[in-house]
Amino acid sequence: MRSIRVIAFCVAWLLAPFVSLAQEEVPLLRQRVTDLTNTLTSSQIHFLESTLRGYEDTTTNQIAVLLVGSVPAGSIEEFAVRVFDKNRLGQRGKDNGVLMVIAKDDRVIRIEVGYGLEGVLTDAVTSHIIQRQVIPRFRKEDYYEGIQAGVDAIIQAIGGEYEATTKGEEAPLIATFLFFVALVFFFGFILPFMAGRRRAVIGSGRHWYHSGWGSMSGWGGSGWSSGGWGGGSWSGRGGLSGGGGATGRW
Amino acid sequence: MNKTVLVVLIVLGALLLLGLILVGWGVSVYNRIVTTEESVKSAWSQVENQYQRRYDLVPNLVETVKGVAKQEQTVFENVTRARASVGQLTVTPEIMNDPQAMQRFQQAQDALGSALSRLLAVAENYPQLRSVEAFVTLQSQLEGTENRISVERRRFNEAVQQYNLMIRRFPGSIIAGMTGFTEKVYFESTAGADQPPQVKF
Repeated sequence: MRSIRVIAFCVAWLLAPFVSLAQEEVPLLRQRVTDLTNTLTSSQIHFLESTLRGYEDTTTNQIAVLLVGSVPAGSIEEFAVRVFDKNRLGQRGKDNGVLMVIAKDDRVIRIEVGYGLEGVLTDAVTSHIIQRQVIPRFRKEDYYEGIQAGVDAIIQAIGGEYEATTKGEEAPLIATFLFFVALVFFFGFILPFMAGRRRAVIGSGRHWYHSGWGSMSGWGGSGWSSGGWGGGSWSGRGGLSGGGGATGRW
Repeated sequence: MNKTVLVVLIVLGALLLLGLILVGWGVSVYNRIVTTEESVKSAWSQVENQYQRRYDLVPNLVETVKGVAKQEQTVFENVTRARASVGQLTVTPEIMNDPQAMQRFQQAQDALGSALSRLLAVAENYPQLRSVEAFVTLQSQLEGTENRISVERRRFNEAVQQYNLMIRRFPGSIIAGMTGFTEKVYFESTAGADQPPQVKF
């Protein structure tokens, strides 16, 4: 009898983390525009997505849009922070992400602003955008137009905050630099050294030479993978938010 | 003879190795506790920042509402008094180890919160305030600040929970006990005290 209870306890203890994960119900965003309600057409999503991608490429600011039917539990403010937390919108350290959550059936919208953009997208500005740009269109059931107007207004409000100079050049620059350092190192130091070794110890020369190439290709590989930083499936870049932004109902 | 010396040496070596491993383990656990405690502290400073932000908003808000609703003296007085009692608190990071100080802090902040929402509820009776730009801005700022407070409070509680678990669960508790780490205090959610339901923006 007791052993069964012990086993049951152990199983419960082992399962606890999975159960708490299952309860969360927070969507993982795989693209910038996520519509769980089938409100937007695929070409509308595509257009919004490309607007946001272009904006992200030039500024590193990450804006994401999420449409849900209704908020799973709690307030939309809480939900928005959870989604933001899970997806980490914005760059790590800059916290320059913005999340627009629309709960269509609850008729409520929230714009959650990352810490780094709170200075330009203040609560008042965000609330203004919701009241003036988004809600009048949502009232007419023009969801796409409302979202688009909201996104445009957000982009306009952020303006020149965070230029893309860092993202566009930093990673490739470092990769190229390291690559050249490796090249110089290789041709200026290792190769002559190896050549010397080969002449001196004829038997093990080949072995030395090969290990040299192996480490060389390792260098180049790591340089390229960090160079291919912007590609692949989209995700947040480690930004955080702290409840800044505004909520509106229609 | 030679064999016994060897055995003794091996046993000594094993003991020394075990000791080193134990010390290394203790140091790593200690460092992890320190890191977690730091994250509690930084979470607390965020909580304080947001409360400070609300505190700083109050005078402007009161002045703006006063401009239209002069006769609501008691409401203004309540807000001013609640703000003053918040201002009198001296808050040091030590508050996290002191349940009573934490309770005093919470009571004062909650009193200010409810006085403020009373003020906003009263302001609802003056539709002309809606067209005062400054009021609309302040209202959205206050709303945002209340939301930030609740976010940072939740994060603080999560950080405290992680820390408390670490120093109370078995292996960590030994190191915590030896090095004098103590449990920290949670924020209790005061049901309805800071956000009465009648205020909907």
